Amino acid sequence: MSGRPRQNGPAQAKALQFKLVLLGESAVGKSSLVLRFVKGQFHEYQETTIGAAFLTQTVTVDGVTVKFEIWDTAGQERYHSLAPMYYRGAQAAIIVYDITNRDTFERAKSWVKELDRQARKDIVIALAGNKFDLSNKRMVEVEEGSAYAQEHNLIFMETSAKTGDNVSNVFVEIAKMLPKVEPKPNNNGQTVRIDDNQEAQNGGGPGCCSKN
Amino acid sequence: MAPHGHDLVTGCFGVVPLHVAQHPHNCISNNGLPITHNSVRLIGRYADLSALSHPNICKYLDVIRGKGELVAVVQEYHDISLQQLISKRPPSNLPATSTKQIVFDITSGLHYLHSRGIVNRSVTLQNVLIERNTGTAKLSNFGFFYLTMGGKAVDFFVGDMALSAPEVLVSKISSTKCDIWSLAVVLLCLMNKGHLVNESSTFAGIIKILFGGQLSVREKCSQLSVQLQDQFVEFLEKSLVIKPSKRATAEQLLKLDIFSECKPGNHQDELYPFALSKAHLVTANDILDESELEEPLSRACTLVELYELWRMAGGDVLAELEKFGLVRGSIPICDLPLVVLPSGEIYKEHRDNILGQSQTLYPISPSLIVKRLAHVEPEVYFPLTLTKCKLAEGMQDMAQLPTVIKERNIEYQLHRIKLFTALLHGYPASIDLIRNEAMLDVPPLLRRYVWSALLEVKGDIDDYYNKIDKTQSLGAIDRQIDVDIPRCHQYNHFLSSPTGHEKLRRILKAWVIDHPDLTYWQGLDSLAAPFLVLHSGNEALAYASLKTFVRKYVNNFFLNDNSHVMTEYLWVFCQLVMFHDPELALHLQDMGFIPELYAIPWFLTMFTHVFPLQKIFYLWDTMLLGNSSFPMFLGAAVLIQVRETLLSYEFNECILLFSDMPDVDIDRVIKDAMRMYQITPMTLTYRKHSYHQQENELLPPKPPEGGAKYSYTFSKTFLSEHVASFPDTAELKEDSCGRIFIQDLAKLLRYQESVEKRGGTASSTIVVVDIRSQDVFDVGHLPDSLNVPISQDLVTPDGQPTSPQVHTLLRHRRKRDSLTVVVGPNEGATRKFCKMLMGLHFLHVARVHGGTSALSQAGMLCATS
Repeated sequence: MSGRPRQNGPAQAKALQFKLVLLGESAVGKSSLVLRFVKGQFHEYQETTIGAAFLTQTVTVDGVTVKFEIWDTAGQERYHSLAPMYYRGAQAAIIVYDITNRDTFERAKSWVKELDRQARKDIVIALAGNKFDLSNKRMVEVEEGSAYAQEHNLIFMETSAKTGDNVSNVFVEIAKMLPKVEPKPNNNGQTVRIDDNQEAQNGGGPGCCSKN
Repeated sequence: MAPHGHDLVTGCFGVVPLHVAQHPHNCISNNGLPITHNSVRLIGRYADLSALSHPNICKYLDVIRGKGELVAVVQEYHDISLQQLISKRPPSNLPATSTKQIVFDITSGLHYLHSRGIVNRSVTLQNVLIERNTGTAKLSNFGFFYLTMGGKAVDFFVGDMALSAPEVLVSKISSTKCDIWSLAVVLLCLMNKGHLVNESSTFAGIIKILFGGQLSVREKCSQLSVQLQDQFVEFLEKSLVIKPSKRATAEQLLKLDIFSECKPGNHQDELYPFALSKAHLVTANDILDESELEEPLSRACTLVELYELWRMAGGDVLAELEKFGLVRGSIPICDLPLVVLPSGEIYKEHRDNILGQSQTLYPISPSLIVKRLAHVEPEVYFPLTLTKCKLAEGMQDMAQLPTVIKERNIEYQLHRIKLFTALLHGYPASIDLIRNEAMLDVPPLLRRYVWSALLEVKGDIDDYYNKIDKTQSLGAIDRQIDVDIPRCHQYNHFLSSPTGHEKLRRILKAWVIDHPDLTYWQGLDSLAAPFLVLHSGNEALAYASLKTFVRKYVNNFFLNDNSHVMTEYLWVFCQLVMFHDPELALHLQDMGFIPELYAIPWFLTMFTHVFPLQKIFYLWDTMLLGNSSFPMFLGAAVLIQVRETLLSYEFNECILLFSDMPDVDIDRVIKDAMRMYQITPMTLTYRKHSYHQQENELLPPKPPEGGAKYSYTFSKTFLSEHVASFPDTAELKEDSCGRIFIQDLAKLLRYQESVEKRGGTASSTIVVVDIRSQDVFDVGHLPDSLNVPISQDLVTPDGQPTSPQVHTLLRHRRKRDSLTVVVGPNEGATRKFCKMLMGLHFLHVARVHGGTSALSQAGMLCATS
């Protein structure tokens, strides 16, 4: 339908699946990072994300294929109440800020704190300072981002969705940090659970690692 | 109306090709985005020009972007300019006009422009056109200076240097006053029957005399050998003044004694009574002139209508330019850069701008449409909306065809445009007629007004909008709006232009300030976009339409915390899908593919975030006819259109499918939504948090005539309690089956009965299933209801119905035209029974809110006779 490869083919049977969520202030380039990573494209006038968008992409690290199920969330603070629905149970997160805008860095820090409190304990978090191509207008020094990341044990990289710099590297670094054993279905690993009362007992639960 | 007729042979509109300055390649602005092309900026600025209308200015009709920063500006055309009028051989058959009247006309036109903040700077003999029949003078090309951002977007001088005011030539300052100077020099030319000359006849020589501060008007005239007419001395003394601050304004000039006998031009604009103002008082123009009947196309159509029809008929402005040899088909290889520096700078062959410098208006003849509309009866142009309001024969079949076909048929469009114009002039009294006609289709030319009418926009909207202080700071919301606007429908030239951005920002800020209890959510920008694109020249009407739209369809979505509103909305949406396609709904539910994951952008932005504007226009043409729940039907129709795909998909595939909206057939979505809307009980989509303007949908039906079986009257108290007891979202979410109110059931039953009485068959059969045990049932029940006790199995192990009632019930399982209504004694039992019916993929199941106890309170139960 959409021309994308079917996700459940036998060729992908070995792929480990991980749920990854992108968080950060609006217009820092979350959707652009995903678009660059998944489709190799860049749109100057990338539309706003309302609610969230979902995309998948695989990478191979050390001979293991890792498939990311990526939830790209809306950046506006108001959509915050939806965020737990997407980061709950996520094994990885990329928190994005815009290096030309200080406020977005502060917002990124608050996301780190929130994930510390609310997300799975073993979540792998990467901090991405995006818009590296505009580094002449930089307001957040690379050392500052790097120091903060080190302090909180995060993967850190400055990226450019526009030029593609470091974009797939972020995902590869995350993939390296993720456990290389099949996460158990029906555990916290379940991709999406909105309403805890609902269909929780259903084995084929939403998006949990396709067994077929 | 155009009382004097348009020239359909030579042309009544013309085009000016304009080559605007190109930016160097790869230029990037401060925010990292590419710099907007000058041609796009022009399109944005055009919006304000398009809204201008005055008897002494030529109407702007369109602006089109061609290749290589070519912009074609379409405007009203007349084949005689002031230049020709004063030439040695003036065209014959012109009504005699005095120089005085011409100067008055030009001054009036300038006054109108200046009052709207527009500097003309191109007041020249060529740019004043004369209407053949009346001799009225009209300013043409008056918008170039404004369009080109004060000449910044073009590489040439806008205007005629010989006529330019001193401050323009010396310090490049252009205010409205520079037009007054040019006007004065034009007057000198008029009196001189041609251009100004002096002994040396050089430009410098003339300028020297004109700018001579010590010379009186009379001295200047004599040095320029101008035959000064005494009547103009005062005019010139006030206008031919070196210092701009001392020069008179157009308004002051109009008050001079010389003009006391001049008549302002007659003119009627496409004004519709959305805002009540003096302009809507009937003028003499409204009275039909019999000559209009003779050549209705030329006399009873406005220029805007003619141009629209011409375009629909395949008229192509750029192709016309090519006919004049004005667009050179440049070979792509010529566009290759000559030199590319390592820094990325590119040097190309210099494009010559000679073509763009002349500002010549090339006439376009609408003869294309004349033949095709020659046989149209004159009555079509003057539809009688009160006595008969229906399509002429031959057009009725047309009305049933797909929209795209209808939009290309100019005869059909002519009918529709004329009919809607008449109806819109009668708004708001004509609202029901407008609604009826809009069910068929909406002519694109009038869509903006039809929408505003359907939304029932009224009141002094300009005043209302102007009173909102849009400059106040909104803190974080300002930042959010700023980052959202450059990403909102940027494929649309107008929305991607700085003017478009500015207007959208103002409208969004106005909305936030105007609604202290609501706030800005990302998505409101997309929602405002269709209104702004349609009303690009009328911000106040765009705003008023947005405001009423939001209140009706997405009211509480913009609360600071909208979670309860959204949850309720999406759950009722699930119930609606369950009602129409239980198999699909169950499949999605089982996968956990809940609307929270895909439908928030659908409903929060009423599809503007997922469909391009062209599709939104069609979608909303229909949506605006429905109630506040209609969008849910559109959503359900989208799901149902891709149902086979969804049924075969796993969770991940489903979510991917909707990450980019699949290519759905919008016509079909609209048709399916309409069909579902018509067979769904009104209250099935009731929501506590929706905007309840039309309380009457929840009011009791009128008392029936004569002893009908289902004649009930409900007290107001009972009804309001009944509605008030509608469950909260948490409880509502226990049910996959939607509920309807008791008065809705009564209405449906009575409707069915009345149809049957007349010997017809109702569009749907209503089966009321009472699930209480038989003994309780026998004590009192709704007449003709089926008793299928919940305690009893529906079928025997070998699949046979356990009772005749079950048999009847099962017959309705897959019937597209039946409605099964469950009434039960309590929540638990009703829920369980409904769930069983859903599991069997029963179509169209609803439960009665309040169950049998509500029926009993309402006095609807009676004992078995």
